[in-house]
Amino acid sequence: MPAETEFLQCLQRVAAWCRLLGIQTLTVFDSRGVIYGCSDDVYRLVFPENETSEDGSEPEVECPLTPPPSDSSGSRTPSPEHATFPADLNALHLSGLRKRRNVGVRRQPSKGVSSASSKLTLYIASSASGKPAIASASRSLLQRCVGGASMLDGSMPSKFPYKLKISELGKVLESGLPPPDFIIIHDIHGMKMPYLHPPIEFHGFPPWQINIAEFHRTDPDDGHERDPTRSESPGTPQLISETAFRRALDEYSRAEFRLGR
Amino acid sequence: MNLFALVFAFIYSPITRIKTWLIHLLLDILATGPMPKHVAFVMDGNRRYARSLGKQGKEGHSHGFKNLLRVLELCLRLRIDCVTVYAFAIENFNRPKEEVDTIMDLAEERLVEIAQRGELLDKHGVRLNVLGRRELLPQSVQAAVEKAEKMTRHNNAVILNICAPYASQDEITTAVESVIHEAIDAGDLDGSTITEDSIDSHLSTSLAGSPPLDIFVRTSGVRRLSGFLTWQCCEHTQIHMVNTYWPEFGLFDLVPILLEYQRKVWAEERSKSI
Repeated sequence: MPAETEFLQCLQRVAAWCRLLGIQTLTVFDSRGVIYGCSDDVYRLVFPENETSEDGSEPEVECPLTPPPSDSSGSRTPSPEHATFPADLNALHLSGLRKRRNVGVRRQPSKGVSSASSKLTLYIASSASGKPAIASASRSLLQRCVGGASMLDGSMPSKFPYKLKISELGKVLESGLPPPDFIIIHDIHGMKMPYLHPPIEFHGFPPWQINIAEFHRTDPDDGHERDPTRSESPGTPQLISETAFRRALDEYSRAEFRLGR
Repeated sequence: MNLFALVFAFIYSPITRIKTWLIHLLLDILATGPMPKHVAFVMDGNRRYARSLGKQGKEGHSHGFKNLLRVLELCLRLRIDCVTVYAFAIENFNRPKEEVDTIMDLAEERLVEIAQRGELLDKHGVRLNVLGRRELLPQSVQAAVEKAEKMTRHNNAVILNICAPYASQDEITTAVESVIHEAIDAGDLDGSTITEDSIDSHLSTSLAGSPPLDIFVRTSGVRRLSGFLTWQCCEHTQIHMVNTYWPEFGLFDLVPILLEYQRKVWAEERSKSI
């Protein structure tokens, strides 16, 4: 699919620039889930140096961890320390580090992988990582609450008032997809009438994570490139240029964060 | 009165009337096209506006409030059903105490004024809702809020939501807590009744009867949502970040925003008809 190809090319470029600049976490928002199903291709593009690793271990693709059930003997309300992770946050987590067989344990990068290139962590999110993930998290919190209360003395959970803290819900949601500091919006298919500065739409970007992120849309005048293998026409996708990326970071460095003050 | 002043008044008065007439004509023409049902404003830049005039930052809030009334009047004329404004974030309590007190005093004065001039809101059928953690407001402001809301509760033509003090993550958490409560009370212990729609229906804007958000405007050039209506605006809402400071935001900032909305609606209608 043409959209997938250009998306992957943009992703490869941005990942490389992030690693050069020491940016350690990159989230890619793929609203329609175009590349969600090809994580192997993404991994090969973003972490090509890991293809020839000596140990031959599989690339690390993590889904949110599910810790062992907590001890419910005396607990009526879920404690943040033992919150059950939701069944499906719908976000993929890719890292250049290899992992051991035990889930969640990391080891040192293998030989030949530079420390700079091993530090990038990539998240792939889609619109399913937003509102549907919050609904999924809510169901898990309910099951956690019900499981704790009903095992206490067999009485109905409704007798026990349920209180949810922002930090508790945040811990669940951000475990699978941390909130970005800065969002760069690039219109791969170009903007119609860019001189009118058309508005931005977020197309389902996770509402919890977008809370205080600064965002910037690339400018059509930033010399975006077209895939040289494709003929040039008004609808030809545009790959994000290094100029656009640097300009975005310059904008971010000038932003003033008052944090309510 | 000298001759010059007389001539000036003679010319200025009809010019002002003509200008007002032209503005009303423009608004009426715009309103013949598709209009958004719900517009939200982050009224940012009051302090910077005041400082640009050589005044203290906190004085900008009074200018901001006056402009809120002007913008509301424009929205009423344009027949926009619902307007939501971000008046005060929960995080804004971190500001210097003097400024917070100024804002709270201003809020109380204006709410009392609204309650006293209820006929103005009644004329346009405006129902006022104050959304957010009102228990964090001073008691006197809470009382003024309740009185102003009560005065306008019977109105249903236009909704005005004032978010103060508010934060999206707080709103989402409260909605999730509510749906979990409901599920427990209904005996739904596996959460099958908990969906995006059920969470949406427990948001404060939905509980206030607000339609889905069509347009989100933030003034002063800042490019962040700052915890305002993130659930409501994260899908198909048109987000506009305008460089104008809020006290200066007016018709000529609003017109291009509305034209963009109309362009989108017409484009969607065309694509459906193909």
